[in-house]
Amino acid sequence: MHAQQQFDVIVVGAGPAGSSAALRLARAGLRVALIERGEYPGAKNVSGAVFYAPGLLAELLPSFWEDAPFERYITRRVLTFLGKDAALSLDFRTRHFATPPYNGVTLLRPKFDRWLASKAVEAGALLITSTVVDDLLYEGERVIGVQCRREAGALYAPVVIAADGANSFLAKKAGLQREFSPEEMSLGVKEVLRLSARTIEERFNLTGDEGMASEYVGEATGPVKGGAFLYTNRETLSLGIIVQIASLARQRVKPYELLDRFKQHPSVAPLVRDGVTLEYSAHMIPEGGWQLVPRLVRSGLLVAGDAAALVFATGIFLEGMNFAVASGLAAAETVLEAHQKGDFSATGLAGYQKRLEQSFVLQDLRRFRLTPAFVNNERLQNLYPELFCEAAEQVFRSEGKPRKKLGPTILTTLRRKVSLWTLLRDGWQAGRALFF
Amino acid sequence: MRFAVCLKQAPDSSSVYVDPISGEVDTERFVQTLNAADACALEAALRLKEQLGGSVFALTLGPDESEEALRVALAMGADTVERIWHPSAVNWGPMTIAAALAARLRADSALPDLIFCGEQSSDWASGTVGPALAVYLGLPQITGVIGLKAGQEAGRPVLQVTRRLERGYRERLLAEPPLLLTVHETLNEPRYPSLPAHLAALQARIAVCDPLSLPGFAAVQEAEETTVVEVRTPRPRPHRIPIPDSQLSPFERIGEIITGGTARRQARLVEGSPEELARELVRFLKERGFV
Repeated sequence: MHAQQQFDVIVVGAGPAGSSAALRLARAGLRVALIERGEYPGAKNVSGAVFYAPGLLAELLPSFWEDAPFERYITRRVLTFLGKDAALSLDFRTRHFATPPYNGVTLLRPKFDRWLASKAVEAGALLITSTVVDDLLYEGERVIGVQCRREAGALYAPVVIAADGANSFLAKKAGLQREFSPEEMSLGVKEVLRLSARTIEERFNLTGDEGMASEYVGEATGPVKGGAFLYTNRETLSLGIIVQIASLARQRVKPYELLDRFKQHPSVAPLVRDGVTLEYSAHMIPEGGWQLVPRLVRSGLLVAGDAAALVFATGIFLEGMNFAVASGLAAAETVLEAHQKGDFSATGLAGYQKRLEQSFVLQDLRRFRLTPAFVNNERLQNLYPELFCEAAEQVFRSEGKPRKKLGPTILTTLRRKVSLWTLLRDGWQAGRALFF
Repeated sequence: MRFAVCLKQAPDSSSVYVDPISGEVDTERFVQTLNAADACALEAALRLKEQLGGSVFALTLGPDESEEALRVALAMGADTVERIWHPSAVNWGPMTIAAALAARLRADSALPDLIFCGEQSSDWASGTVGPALAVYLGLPQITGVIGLKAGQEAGRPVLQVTRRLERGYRERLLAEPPLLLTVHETLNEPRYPSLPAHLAALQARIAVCDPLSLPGFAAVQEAEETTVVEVRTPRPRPHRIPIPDSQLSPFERIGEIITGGTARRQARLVEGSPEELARELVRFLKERGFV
């Protein structure tokens, strides 16, 4: 074995999980190989790209916000129920999210991933781009390296961190992850539209570097289960739809038709008017939540980020990058510990699971484990948004006739389509999923 | 044989966005890679080296980031690489760049037998550096190479070169080194390096040469250098529409304008006996009002 092909740790995938792990490990003086299949980090991924809790980076990169390529910091969150011709929104804004390290920021992943990987390279990690990892190398039960899709493509290390993204082949090949069902997977289709910074600020009522993250449910995706998003970048908008694959197949709709439909909705069209499409992309998202989280460790291998399905999609919260960074850092700490003890067995790496259980990563996923079923509730997806809009219309309608009080107005509208019993049951489900 | 290849780290064309109204290029979205035509030039040199023996020297003129191009060259199989740079080179035009490359190549004891350049870069696409370099070195040159084979004649290597000309024409040439070739990006498919070569290249130290210290180098005078007057996106080419005959009815004139006059060029093939053909011809001429 050539010494050049021997490392202390191999990290597969230079996304937020992989690069933050590589950065932490390289800082500690380990020989790190960071392998990326794209021509550069960020070339291959698709992300709506709001990074919540970016403060996680502060531990490694103090005052990172001064040079990180962030687009806008989120001070405005909107959740909209979309009916056919109407929209009912919950619109929240606060100045409290406007100070570094910020509560959430929008970013463009090609830029951000390159930046984060460049920090790992500065710390001494070896970034190997344009290289696909095809398989793991074993010695008995132990993972001892990876096989790259290049001539003489074996690389060796006592421990490998698989951060190879959604639909991780490595996690499956290592027998940690099962095959997915189409109910657990979503398809994200996204466009980046160009508008001037001034237009964005005026249209979305923002000043300076403030940004907005807006999510939609209901008519946004027609009869298909899913939602839509619209985020503001500095001079572009990221917008797209996220739809459940099983439902997409059942309804026989083309995803780009859904995206067009969303863009043409009367309450969305004026927001995206005159936007020039710069990018169009699509990717699978593991939205199965807690159920989809695989075994995270085997002898010589750790799984982090999307590869471990650490995606927090609950309708109200749509987070993934913070989970990726936190799991990458936890994996790095575990690898450092294993190097100190010289124990890379599953027991030696078990600290990883423990670290994630103590952090928000697994706690949030477990606490909100009922949300995937709730979010995919047929009525929440296709009936309630329309009904909420109708109820709002009844409340706000002025016809010169005597009004009822709000309670009866709303209840009669709702009960025209749903029985009180179903309403209570769905209310209970929502409560269990999100509130208590 | 000794081969030299001139490379440029240039924007990946898929990452370039030009604002259609202002004509400004969005530099934030740029991704720099080894220029596609230059990669083909390098591949061509490596294939000839494998066939004829020798060594390949790859050089580039550019800032720190251009090292990437040389690392690709090393991984693919270049024997030596060198980066030429001086901060003042930011403002150099293609003629001065060619002069610097020429000075560097002349600094060695003998000139390379074959020099390869990409035909043009994906950013400015002036196609000037290669030809200018040939002139500065006093070498014959063949531009727009899309086919290349090497053979031997009386113990000397002879190149069979296919050139791309305008309007789909091709030119076949026989040439003997020393020579400079500028290569079109369809010439070949550059190789995908092995992992050990890739790793070694990533970790290699890359020599830097200051062009101002080279003997015989002087920046080209402003008068000779290319000046960029304006950059804009090309307007669509106007479509010529023949002026319709004023004798025609307005309906037919509008028909001619919206069909671009193509109705005129319609051909009809008539078959039959000579009598039938003559009758058909007379009928046609009458119908159109000629007789």
